[in-house]
Amino acid sequence: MDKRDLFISGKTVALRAINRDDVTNTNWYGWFNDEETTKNLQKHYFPNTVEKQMQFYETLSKDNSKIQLMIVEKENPETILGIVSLQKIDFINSNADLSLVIGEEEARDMKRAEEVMYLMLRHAFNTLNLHKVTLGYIDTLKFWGMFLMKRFGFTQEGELKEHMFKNGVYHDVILLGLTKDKFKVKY
Amino acid sequence: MKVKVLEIINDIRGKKGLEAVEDLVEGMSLRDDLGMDSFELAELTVRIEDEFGVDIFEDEIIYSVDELLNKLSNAE
Repeated sequence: MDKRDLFISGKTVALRAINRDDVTNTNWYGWFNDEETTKNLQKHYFPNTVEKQMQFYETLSKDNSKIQLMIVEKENPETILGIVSLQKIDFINSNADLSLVIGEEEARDMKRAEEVMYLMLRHAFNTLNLHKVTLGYIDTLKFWGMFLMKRFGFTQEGELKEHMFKNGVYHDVILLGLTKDKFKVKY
Repeated sequence: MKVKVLEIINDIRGKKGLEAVEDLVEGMSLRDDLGMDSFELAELTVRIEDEFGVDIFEDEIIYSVDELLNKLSNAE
């Protein structure tokens, strides 16, 4: 990894800027073709390709309403683990939506996911000075949502009924919100 | 305590179509032997905290059944 790309450093992971080479030199675009990786995501409806990912990258690099960072191992920054994003950043209402994809199966470690979310929430509240961060998840991940509430202080703010079609079934999508004053700083 | 932990683990395994395990054996890995992915470990954390009032993953990563049971024993 080019050290100039390093953006946020944690205990076991680091978050770095995404660059053009990631489109072709990492598994990034392939994660969205993998059924297991996308089983809880609103993805995997159409195949992803290098070309589509390059278009996405070109849009991302010009989009000031989205921060997307590559998750890498801190001690071995060549090892790419996934991506984390703050999107729909709204500097008037001071909020954004958080999303996380751990693309590499062997990296799907709860503690690591928790650390990545913490780093991105800290960036949202303490650097971008956002007031609130929201996220949504499929109803099959009920306990993941409960875990996020306990860990960071998220509360449930809504439920979109039969909103996400996955594996032949319409699933509810649960919406959580976290304001800066409720953010549990644990690290 | 071990019986309740086994019950929770088997309930989580059952939801993904895995057979129940008869006992929690020393050295068993939560991930490799019991088949728990990160979301299921989150469920385990929440359900154990609800049952025993102990956050098993608060300070460190737990990999094995031994570590889990030791953490619960030490908290008693």
